Amino acid sequence: MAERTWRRFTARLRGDLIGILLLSLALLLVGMVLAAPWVTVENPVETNFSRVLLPPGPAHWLGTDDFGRDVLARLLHGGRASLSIAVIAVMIVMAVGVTIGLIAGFLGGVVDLIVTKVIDVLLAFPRLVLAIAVAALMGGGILPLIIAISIVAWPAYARIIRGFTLQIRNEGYVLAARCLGTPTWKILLHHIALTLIGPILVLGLLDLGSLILAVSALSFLGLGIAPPAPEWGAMLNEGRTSMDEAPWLVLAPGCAILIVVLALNYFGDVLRDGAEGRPTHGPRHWLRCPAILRWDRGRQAERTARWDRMEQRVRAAPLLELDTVSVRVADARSPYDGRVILDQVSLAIRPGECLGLIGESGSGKSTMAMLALGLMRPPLTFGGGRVLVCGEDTAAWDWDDWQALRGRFVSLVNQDPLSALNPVLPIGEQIREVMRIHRAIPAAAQEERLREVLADVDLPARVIAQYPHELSGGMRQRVVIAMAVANRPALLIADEPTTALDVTTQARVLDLLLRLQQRYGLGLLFISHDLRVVARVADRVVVLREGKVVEAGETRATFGAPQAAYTRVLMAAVPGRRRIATAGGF
Amino acid sequence: MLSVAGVSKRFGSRLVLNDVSLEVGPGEIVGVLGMSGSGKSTLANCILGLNRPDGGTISWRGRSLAERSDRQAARREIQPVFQDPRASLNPRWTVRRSLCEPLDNWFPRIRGGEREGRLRALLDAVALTPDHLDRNPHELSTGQCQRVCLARALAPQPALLVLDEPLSALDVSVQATLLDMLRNLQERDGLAYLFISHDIAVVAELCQNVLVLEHGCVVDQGPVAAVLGTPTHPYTKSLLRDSLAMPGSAN
Repeated sequence: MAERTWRRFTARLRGDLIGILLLSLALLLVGMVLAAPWVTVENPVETNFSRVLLPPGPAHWLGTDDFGRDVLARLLHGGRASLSIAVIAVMIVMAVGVTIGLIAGFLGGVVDLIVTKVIDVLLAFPRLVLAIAVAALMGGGILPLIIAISIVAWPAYARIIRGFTLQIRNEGYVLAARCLGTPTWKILLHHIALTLIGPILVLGLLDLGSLILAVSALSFLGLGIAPPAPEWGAMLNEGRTSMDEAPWLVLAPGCAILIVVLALNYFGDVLRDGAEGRPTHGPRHWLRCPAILRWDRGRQAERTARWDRMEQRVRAAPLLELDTVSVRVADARSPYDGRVILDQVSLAIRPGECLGLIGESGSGKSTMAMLALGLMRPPLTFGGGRVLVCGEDTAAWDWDDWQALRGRFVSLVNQDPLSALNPVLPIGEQIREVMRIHRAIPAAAQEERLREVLADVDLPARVIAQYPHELSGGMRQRVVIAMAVANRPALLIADEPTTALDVTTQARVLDLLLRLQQRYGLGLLFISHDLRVVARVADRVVVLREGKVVEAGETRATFGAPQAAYTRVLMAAVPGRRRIATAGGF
Repeated sequence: MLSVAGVSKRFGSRLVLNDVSLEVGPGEIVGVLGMSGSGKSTLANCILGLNRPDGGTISWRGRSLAERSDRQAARREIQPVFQDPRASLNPRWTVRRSLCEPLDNWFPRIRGGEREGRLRALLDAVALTPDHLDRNPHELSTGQCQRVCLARALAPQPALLVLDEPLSALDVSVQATLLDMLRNLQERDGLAYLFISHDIAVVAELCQNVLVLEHGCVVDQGPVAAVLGTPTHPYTKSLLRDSLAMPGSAN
């Protein structure tokens, strides 16, 4: 674990110039701070009025202050105070916060209630103001400073750790550990605390930065270390009065704080990314200015023209056509670099047709869905071939081109309806949003359409005001389907839409999809690993294995007389085939 | 061996289990069929001691599990396999560490070569190789993860496995492999299974006796051939109607 994290850390750092620069600067600074007595022979507190306010020069690298003290010496010696106070505070905070959070989260009940209330009260105050109040009450000095900072910082930890603990407490492996006879303290320590150690350390590193700031801020206000002992925040305060004639007095501690805090935050982030199991890839355009700012008349006109062409063709041309499409992983950091996900796949979905795509996990079937939605993201890259949507080549399309189509021409129903719905918005609002994004229609017409689609998916009108958690799994999936068809798309991608549902609900949802397909004349790409499901809905099937099409044809013909050996293997694997037939059930 | 008598459980005002009774004998495979929300997972959790029933008794080899001392002893003999294999393994632990957890809990005296031998035997039982020992769950397929979970459940040498939808997260072909594996293990070790599922086809293939749950009540109970072969209860009939037919066999 540690080794792996370290490997990721170094891998991430390689080629990151800013990171290397920042790291070396920070390390240099911290090293010099630690070795302060050896780096500079100057006494940080000795006043010498013969050299007041000297600018930086060969004798005094960072100049001197209004008492004639060497700024470099004060900076380095002061750093010892700032950093060590922050480090001690972070350790106190971590120990207190983690223990309280773990106990509250795992025990629950009254303990949890009391702790949560205390945390809420403490968090309700602005951190710094509370710290100032506490430090002022206790009357300055190192110890009050540490206590003040710890008091305001632990609740945030405890809350985060409590949240993690609550989450992990009901994880399958903790339940399993209970069944396996592991004692509670061992579960708390091994499964929960040690699981959290990564996040805790990262949290500590990130917080160290803000604690250094807090130490400096309190010292700046005169609540920290008593003068003349040096400290970065106190130095800022002292330099404030002569800022005009001697800016180096403020710049030196200011830059030191900046570098250390920046480096801590930066590496906290890097470390956090490293600690998360695998590299995360956002979509290429996750951070974009709103479309209105990037309004491009030419592209917009092109988009409208394209939309008109597609509208004309929508009854005739294949809705989606893949022509020898290959997709592979291109990411040097990934262990799967170079792996082929789709290998020269060709298929077409015509209007009003249901194409069933059968494949096991890892066969590339979900990549296919992403292709059809223009959502393929790094590390996946095109290895060749063409994707045509309604006869239009999509090779040159950008995010906005696809965005205009998603939810309007093509929409998606995926496996997990709970993750497809926003938990904090009522159902009605979520369906309205889909309609609003794509066309400006009057509110009355929108309401009418909303009721219409809900009726289409057999949901009562009361769900408009309900939230996803109030609905059953089957109802949620119906909501997702309603959202998908709200704009009357031509193509619907259903990626394992019934896998999370039980048989009865599955049967109803499949019937519903078929009914909607006929009603709206949808082209349906139905993706599943279960041939029974596909056999029930699809007109044609494509069997995918390791990115290759191994068999394609009419559903009935394919399952009646499968050509590929792999299809026969899949068919033989369907459970219940051997026994229930003899029991006479089917 | 396991005897559940009139167990009920409520969560708030909702009665999740209502007077459920069942028996599992040595080496017997009992299926529990039910839709989501029928209370089948709650039943499993009650038997595993993760939930405490509000009424009724659950006893193991004639001793009630409400007694703390008896519960500890029964815990080793009743082991679970849950639905989501990825969530059931600590993502930061290697397979070796996950498998050693029950071994260390129950057989702390077994160390060194003997323990390695046990690990090998466990992996062997679920058709994994020693190479898998040093991998993390994310380096395994979902089917392999579920096999690790199965091996972990076998480690305390249980007499009863409570399998809560163990196949639902898996591809159909992987389900078939695991079903065969479960059947072989049962024949080899004489294990008893309480097999919880919503998939009639799987239950029909594996189980001897079956119990149909609807809204926490047992509506149908008996040998598989009778309950599913010639269904009489309207709910069982509706379940059978909704389950998917094999392609090819339907026409």
